[in-house]
Amino acid sequence: MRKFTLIAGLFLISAIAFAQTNSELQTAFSKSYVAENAGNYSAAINELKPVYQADSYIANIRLGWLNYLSKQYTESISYFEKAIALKPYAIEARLGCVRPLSAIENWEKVKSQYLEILKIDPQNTTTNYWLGVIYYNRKDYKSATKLFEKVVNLYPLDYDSVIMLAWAKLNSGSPADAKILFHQALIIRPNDASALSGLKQIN
Amino acid sequence: MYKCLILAFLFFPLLVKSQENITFQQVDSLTYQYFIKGNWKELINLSKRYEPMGIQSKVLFQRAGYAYFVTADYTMAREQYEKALKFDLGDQVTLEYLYYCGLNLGSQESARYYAQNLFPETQKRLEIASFKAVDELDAELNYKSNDATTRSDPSYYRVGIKTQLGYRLSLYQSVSYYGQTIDGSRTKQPEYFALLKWKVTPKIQLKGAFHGINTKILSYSYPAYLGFLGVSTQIKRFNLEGNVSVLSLDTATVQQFGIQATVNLPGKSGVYLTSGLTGIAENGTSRAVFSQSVGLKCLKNLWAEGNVTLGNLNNYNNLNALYVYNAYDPTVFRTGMTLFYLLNKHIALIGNFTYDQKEFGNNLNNNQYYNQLSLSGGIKWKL
Repeated sequence: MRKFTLIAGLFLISAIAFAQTNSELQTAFSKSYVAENAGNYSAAINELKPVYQADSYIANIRLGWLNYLSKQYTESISYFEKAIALKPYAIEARLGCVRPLSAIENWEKVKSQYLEILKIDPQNTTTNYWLGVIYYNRKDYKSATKLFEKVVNLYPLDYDSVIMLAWAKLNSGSPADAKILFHQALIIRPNDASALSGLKQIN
Repeated sequence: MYKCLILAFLFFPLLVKSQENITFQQVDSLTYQYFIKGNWKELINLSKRYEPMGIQSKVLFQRAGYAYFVTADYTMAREQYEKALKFDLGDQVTLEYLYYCGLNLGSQESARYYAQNLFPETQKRLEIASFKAVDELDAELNYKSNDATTRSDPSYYRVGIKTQLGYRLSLYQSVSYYGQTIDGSRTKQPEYFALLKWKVTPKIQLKGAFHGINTKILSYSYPAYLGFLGVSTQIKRFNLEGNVSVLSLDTATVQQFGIQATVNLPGKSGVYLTSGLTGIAENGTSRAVFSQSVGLKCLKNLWAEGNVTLGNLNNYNNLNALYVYNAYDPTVFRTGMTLFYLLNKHIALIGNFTYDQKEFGNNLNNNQYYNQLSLSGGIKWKL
């Protein structure tokens, strides 16, 4: 009987502690959202600091995001990296990390995150598209073509992917394929300047 | 007065704090303004503050790199651009400035290493090709005069050709001739030299050279062969090199081990200092040779370099084994000055004056010396 009372007591204490922590977390996050909506990112960060725990995925993601908004890119990357370490298969943490990395133009690390995402989810549209853009900007048209093709296969009416695939095909020496794609882009977006310019180069 | 001091102490922590709390936005905005206004000094000073605080981005490194570049501190410019490159290996602006930094620091190998990743149209504009059979031609004519009655005035001339085998691999070949009459006997010495340079990484370079010498005295031939290996690395303002060579003569084998350090000082005059220490092992004996040179940019297109070499230079080699000092009379002290004048983008003229104190090589005149002066003229034509 005494043993039962002890166990029940401990359970009750833990439950109260959890309820308190959970309630504190909810309050802190709620206040943080309000501050963020008001554009006061420093206040939004400060609301979370007292309840921050290094092993909390959500707190790291949130602080990564808020630090990104307040243009504290180094801190932002650090929080997102902590979140990635806690949940290595979470794509959202990697996509979050890409934002501050892009802001400081660390395209090598952006590329690494995108490649990691594609290992987890090879069909990820956002990642295929933006990694394709990185390759395209480096004039690696063949690698860019492969990635844009994946997106166009999934979303044949997505203008951005179609036009990028058209240009990548043209620059990698496939004008016939490019021509078809430029025409497709003109159907999606009639009189599109980029598509017309591409066709002018072919003809 | 005391009040002022108290106030200063009260506000000092606040000033320090405000400096520590500089944000990315502030840095981005300030560096951009300094960049637009061409306020390079402030931009450089600011970059020294924010970088240790972890405020880093590609464009911040590029701005700081440009500030150093414009103020002719190419070593620091290269460092900043190298940091920018880590953010974006394909960034064309970064790569092009790293190319120019390499050229301005006198390292064509470093320049070409970065040029390999430039877009083809940029490479075309900068006239850079992976392979170039004749990239550079050079010629050197040397006249020496001495005050020894039993020695004629020696003559030396040399022509060379540089071939680019790839962006990171180059081959330099040279043929030369040395002639002198000693005690009535004519010495003729044709030579062949080949140097292969491989830029392994942006900071590490390997060098291998062969030097063949065929000394003819009267009707006798004394062939000699030299093999050379060197590795050099670049750490901030320093270039460090280690090398080893073996010279196989008819009568002996000479081993040489050398270390060399060059430091490029900041400033528009581009002052650099090079110190070298060489150990030579020959016939069971060893000796050391110390060399020191200092160079600077005197005028817009004119560089001057002074040098001094201490030690017995018998069978010593320098400049990647291009020159082998195997003359009958060894040099025991050498000093000189070289002028480099860049006539235009393609042609450089080189003039050199050297004084040698030489020791008579025969046994009859041991510890007896004579003086030799030499004048050289050279031309380097970059095609």
